[in-house]
Amino acid sequence: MRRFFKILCALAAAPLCWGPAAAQPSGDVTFNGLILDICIVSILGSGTLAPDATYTSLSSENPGGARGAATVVTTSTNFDLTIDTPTGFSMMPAGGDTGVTYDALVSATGVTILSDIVDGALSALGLGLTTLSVGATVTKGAGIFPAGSYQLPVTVRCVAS
Amino acid sequence: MRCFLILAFLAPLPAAAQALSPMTKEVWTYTDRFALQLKAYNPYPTTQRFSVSVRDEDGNAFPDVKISALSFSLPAGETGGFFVWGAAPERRRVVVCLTSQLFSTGAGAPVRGEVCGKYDIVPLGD
Repeated sequence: MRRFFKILCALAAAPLCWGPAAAQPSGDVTFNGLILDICIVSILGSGTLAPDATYTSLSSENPGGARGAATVVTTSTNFDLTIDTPTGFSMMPAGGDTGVTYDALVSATGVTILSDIVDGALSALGLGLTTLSVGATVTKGAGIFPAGSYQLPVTVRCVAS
Repeated sequence: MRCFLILAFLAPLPAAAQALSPMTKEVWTYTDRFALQLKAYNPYPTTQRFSVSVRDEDGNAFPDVKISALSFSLPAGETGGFFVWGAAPERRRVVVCLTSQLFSTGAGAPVRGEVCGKYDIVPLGD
């Protein structure tokens, strides 16, 4: 029994006696990392709709109009950009949406280059920061737009591909 | 005057942004039900309000699905979790979209941001 304890103690103390010279010649230090596959859409500003000379078009592309602005940041190339066809005014005077058609378009600079892509189309996003300019046009088939305030929401979507 | 009235002016609005994590995932289930736990992130210095919608690949409403929070607010820089669960008798793809609040404080063409993740539900034995 006494001999058993001696062996046990020797084994337990052995690493202490070996010292640095007996350590492994090399070892691995592990570094863990994670890049989330993520897409961040940021809306920077609304656009301005202005009428044309005949009051049959209300558009960001008309004189006095301005496009909305947004950015998209991606951490991979697994994302697509799309812009929805506007579904309708969220604010308008009576009769403002009678006989109208809606269109939207988007241009991009930065890691993604797009030029006036129409609503409904999917475009691959590059890796990093993309800056978007978003345009919208409402056209009246008959008559003119009545005076008043109009608001047209436009949705910019980042979709996992 | 008419021109003045009809113009929709650009209003200075707070930035709206959102992110969803994870954006893609394959989910295995032992039954004909599934559940997803997702996180929404508000990376901006203002509180944002978000809404959640679930669709199929064609953009139609996904049948028999429940969302723990259809709409919620997140303080600046915060992450909030929510659940989506429902029936999946066979392999199917679920598209979950997180949409930022539309700031309707003025006229114009406000842009609404949306991020959509795609999740493949795989019943084991399928």
